[in-house]
Amino acid sequence: MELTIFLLSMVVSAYLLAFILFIIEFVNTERKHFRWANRFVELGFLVHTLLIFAQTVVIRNVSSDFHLPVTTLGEASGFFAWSLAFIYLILLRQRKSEIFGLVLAPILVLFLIPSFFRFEINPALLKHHHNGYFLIHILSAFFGYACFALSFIAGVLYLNLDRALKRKASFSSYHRFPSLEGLERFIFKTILWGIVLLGFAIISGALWTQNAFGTLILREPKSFASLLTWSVYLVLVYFHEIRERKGRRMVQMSLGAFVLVLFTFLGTSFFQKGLHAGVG
Amino acid sequence: MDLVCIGLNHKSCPVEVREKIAFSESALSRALSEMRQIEGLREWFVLSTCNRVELYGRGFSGVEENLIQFLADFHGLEGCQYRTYLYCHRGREVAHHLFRVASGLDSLVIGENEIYGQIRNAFRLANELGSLDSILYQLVERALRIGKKVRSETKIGEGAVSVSSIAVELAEKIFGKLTGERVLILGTGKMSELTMKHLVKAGAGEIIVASRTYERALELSQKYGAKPIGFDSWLRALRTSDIVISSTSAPHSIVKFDDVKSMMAERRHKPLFFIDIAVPRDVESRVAEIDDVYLYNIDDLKTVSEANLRMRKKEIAKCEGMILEELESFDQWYEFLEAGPVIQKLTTYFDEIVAAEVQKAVSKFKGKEEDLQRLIQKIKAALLHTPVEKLKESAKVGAIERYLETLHSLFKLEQRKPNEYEKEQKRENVPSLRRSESD
Repeated sequence: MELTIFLLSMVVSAYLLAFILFIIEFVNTERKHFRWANRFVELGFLVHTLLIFAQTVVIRNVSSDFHLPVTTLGEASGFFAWSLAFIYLILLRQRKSEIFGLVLAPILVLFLIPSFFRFEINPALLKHHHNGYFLIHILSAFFGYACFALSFIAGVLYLNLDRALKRKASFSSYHRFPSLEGLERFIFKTILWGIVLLGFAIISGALWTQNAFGTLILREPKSFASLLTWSVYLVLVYFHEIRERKGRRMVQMSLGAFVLVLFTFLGTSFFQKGLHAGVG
Repeated sequence: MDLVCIGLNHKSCPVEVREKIAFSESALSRALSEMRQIEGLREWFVLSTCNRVELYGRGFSGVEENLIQFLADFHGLEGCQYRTYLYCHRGREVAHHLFRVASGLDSLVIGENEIYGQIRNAFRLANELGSLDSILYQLVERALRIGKKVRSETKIGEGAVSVSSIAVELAEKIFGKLTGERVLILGTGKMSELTMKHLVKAGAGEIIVASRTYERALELSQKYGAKPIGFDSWLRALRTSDIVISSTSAPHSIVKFDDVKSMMAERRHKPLFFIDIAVPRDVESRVAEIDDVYLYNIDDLKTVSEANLRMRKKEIAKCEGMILEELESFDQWYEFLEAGPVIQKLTTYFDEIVAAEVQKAVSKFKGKEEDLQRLIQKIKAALLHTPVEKLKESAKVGAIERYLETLHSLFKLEQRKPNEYEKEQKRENVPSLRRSESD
């Protein structure tokens, strides 16, 4: 347990340092902190990966020899932070910018905070950890949510830039922002990835419950909320890509859709009992 | 230091005089070739832009007078006509001045980028024509380096300040790289043309020009590869445009709120950017309230320009600090350059000593010549290491002269002629290595 806390503290410190450097980079005139800020995000991600590996294979050998740390709210929240950093660092390598890092770093820290606390383990879940469908379900769901979260961050940036341009704010207040169209493309690209990944999560979840319980869907709020989230995002992408609706209103709607993600990921955990309790 | 710079710029001289002194592209090549005839000039380089004409040179004292005379002769002017506008820098001030110019600190618009490219081009031309030698080459190379450094490490070049470049910068903030964006030009004033020129340079897609005078639209279109249309069909063209530059002389606004509102629904809210540089304004101010429409009039653009200029001015102190650092490094390099011939003479002197002594004992090393050569190199490197390092250190604190004098007097480097060591040996009958070994 001490090792877990120690490694978690290292991860949080790395992200906090990155956050401070992103602020300095954003405010200051010298442009040499960005690289270091990204290095700290990478360091935090690496240590976190090590921690997750240790938790999965070594530390928590409770009921099986393989245990993905997503069985409590704390673990799920931490794993989500890891997924978010993974998407940011690996999949969005070319799109990294100081303004993105500036917003992302504190979010990573926020999602890591619950990992410091002890939450009740959901024992019903432990026996399914060796199931392949279950693992695909968990991983794709988390990465899908991470994509939606990144689209949300880009959406917030879009609205800020839009407001600055409308108000004719000083150029220095937004000169580190990507362009409006670039942000919009990014928002809907990540949403598209999110839809694919969440789709995988829903299908693999159905196959898993079919195997384990003989039903394609668990009658739990999270199952229905996930389907609703997926559908809403699908409609959004349809309007953006097929009907070619662009601009601020579409971005606002994507931000609205993210409320559903939050509800699905966190909200349902507070009033449900079952396999999804405490899990993202 | 024997560097010199004479010139005039936008601060020292009115445009009427500057345009008489400026070198056209072809004249510049000719001038660089003719400067070869200037007495006492060893290397030279000319920087001629719309805001400055500067002649940089290195030569014997008094060469600046020859440069001034050359400038007058080349342009067929009386010397006294422009002499009052001229400034003259000498020694390290030349380097300091050029570093400031390359950094955009001496420009009309602080931090502007154009001067960097102009220096680079002038440097290339001078280099091609062989007018640069080691010192001016090094100076200009360092000027380009510091020019690049201040722009990448400070905000001196950030935020556009001219109306046309602000328009492009804002367009890029909305659309990203301007690759396929369609531009509509309403009215063909000077400012429209300038903005259009910047947009074309930034890679804008199709450009449509609408003017009440069709001939003028045609003329402008031919110049920039645009498409001219009659003024009555501009509203139709607006539907498919992304950027609109408006500068008509209409006495009332021509772009109405209702038209744009209904058009935005048709465009499915693809962003639309209006740059209204007309006075009175061409675009109704309410248009800015429509979602995804961005409207900047001439006052907005000026406000952005002033804010950016203020931001740039805040960076000057930081840039000056960086320039002084580079200047110090150049000074050190230049001072150490003086040590070059002395080190060369010292090395030759050591070579002679070693060669003379080795000659006497060469039979002892038969079959081991390679080892002997290696040993000689090692001894020479060890002997020279400390003095050279000491010279480098003294160059940093500006005390190299004293050390050079000492070396000269210790080893008589000034008067030394080739193979003098051997003659000295014979004269003084110094016991040879072979003899001492046999003893």
